Amino acid sequence: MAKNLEQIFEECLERVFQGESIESCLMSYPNEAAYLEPLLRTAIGVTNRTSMVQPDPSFKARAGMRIQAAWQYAAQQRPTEKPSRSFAWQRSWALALTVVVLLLFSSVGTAFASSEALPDEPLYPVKLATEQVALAFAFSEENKVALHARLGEERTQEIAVMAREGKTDYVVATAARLGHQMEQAEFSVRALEMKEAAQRASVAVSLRTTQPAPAMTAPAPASTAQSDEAAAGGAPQAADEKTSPPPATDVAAATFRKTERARELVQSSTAKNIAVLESVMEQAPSAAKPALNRVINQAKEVQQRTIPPQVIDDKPRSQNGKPPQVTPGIIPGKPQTTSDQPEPLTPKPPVEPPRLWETPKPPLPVDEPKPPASTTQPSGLTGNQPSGSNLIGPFGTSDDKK
Amino acid sequence: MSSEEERLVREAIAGNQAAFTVLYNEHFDKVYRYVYFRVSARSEAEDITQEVFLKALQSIGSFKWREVPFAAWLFRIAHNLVIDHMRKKSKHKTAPLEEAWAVSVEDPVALTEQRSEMADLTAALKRLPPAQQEVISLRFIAGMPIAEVARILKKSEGTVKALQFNGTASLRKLFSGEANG
Repeated sequence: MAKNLEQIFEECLERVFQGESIESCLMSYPNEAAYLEPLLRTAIGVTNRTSMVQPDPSFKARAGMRIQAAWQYAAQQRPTEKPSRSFAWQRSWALALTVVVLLLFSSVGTAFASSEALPDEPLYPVKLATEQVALAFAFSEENKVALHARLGEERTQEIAVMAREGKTDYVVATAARLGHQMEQAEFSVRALEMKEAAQRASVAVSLRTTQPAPAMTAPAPASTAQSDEAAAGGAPQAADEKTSPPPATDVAAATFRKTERARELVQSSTAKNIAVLESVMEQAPSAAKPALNRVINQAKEVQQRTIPPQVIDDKPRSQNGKPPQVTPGIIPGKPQTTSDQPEPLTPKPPVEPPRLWETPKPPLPVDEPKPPASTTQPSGLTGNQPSGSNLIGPFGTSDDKK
Repeated sequence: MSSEEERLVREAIAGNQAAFTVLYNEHFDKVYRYVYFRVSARSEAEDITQEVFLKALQSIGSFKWREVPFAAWLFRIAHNLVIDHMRKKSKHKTAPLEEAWAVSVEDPVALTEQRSEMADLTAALKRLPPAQQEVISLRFIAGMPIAEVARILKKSEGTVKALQFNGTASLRKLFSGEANG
């Protein structure tokens, strides 16, 4: 069926929006070319000129904060419910199946070729889907951190290419994806920190509660004092003690190392991303610079918040290289009395992913002074971070950082 | 809707604020641009744009991704709010255009030229019949595909293509008329 002029115009317009030249499109319709060319140029001119209009950044930030406040208000009104993971889980498996089918029934090269795809290329959605499959199979938090850090670096490289090519919309969209990757990486670091805090508390509780009753087992009261010292963060019990060292200590130490590695990875990854983004700032189109600035600031704030906390511990350090034992609620250096004992652990609620403006808060004991406020400032939904969040955690304060 | 956007929308529906934030950042500028060229006043465009996302936030729980893409849903909200705004506002002389575009040139002559072009463009858009103006705004300013423009305006694709064609031809005549004095 012959196409009418309106259909031909729309077809040529779509091809030009996808990157084809006007001349190339008109070669497909030589009879209509003389009539269509000025219309196509008018349409492109309108699109290009109107793209110069950008919202005022301060307005966008204010609007973002208002949206944030409305979201939090709505969340408070909603009954607490566990976020449904079923869609994400089903979607992950559907994507996994899609990639498997793709590999089986099409050229293996397609999936691998997509790994190099850029945001303006047809295979880019395949690349993103492949990444989702990889994320779905990253079961541990440390693997998730590693993957999100790698994907963040990938997004950064894509932004650099798009910025050099002057493709504003792709820069903006990819910057949003980079922001998301950094948030997810930080979320996984927080999850590791929570796990570490829980394990330390568990170790402390088990050390205090596994003191043997004198009538039932050895040793004598001397070992009770040693148990107290261990609970207070002193040297671990010697191997020849009748009470064997709790295995939870090794687990806590392993988690500590994982958390440290995760933080280091996020630190180094964000540093690399910041360097690349700052280097392309000059070449980027003006309209893309606000988005670049936002994601650079977001990266700096993530970097700041994942600085490892330093523990001031004036007790004798352990000699076996294990991390200092800090019991939540016990302020290092403070004489310990019964009033310093942390509150009994309550059953933990299911771990929900923190919202953008929420920080996972380990339980604080009653007497611990509030940590100082974070130095980072909130700036609404521009990719920057929440207000009032002290993300140092219970193991130190910002004053402790050197 | 891309798989990434679909995932974000699902997570936003499930209550993930971070996901909604990403969607907000991805679509905010386009929505603002679309509204700005419909109402031609920066302060009003800011109010309406903010209202679009507040309404989207309130209604995200009822969004069904199978029925309409997220961007189309968002722009339908924007379209309806613009219509409501225009109904409330009585027709008046177009106020001097508030500068709402990124100044990409420093040369005063080029800057004046840029301002003049923008004013001409906005005036020309205003002179189009409302139906053509809606299609041109959604298609060229918001960058929506034809199928989604048709969904937003609840018209057939054939009708939207015709409005697009005629609207572009009208703009061409208006620009040519201005160039010829």
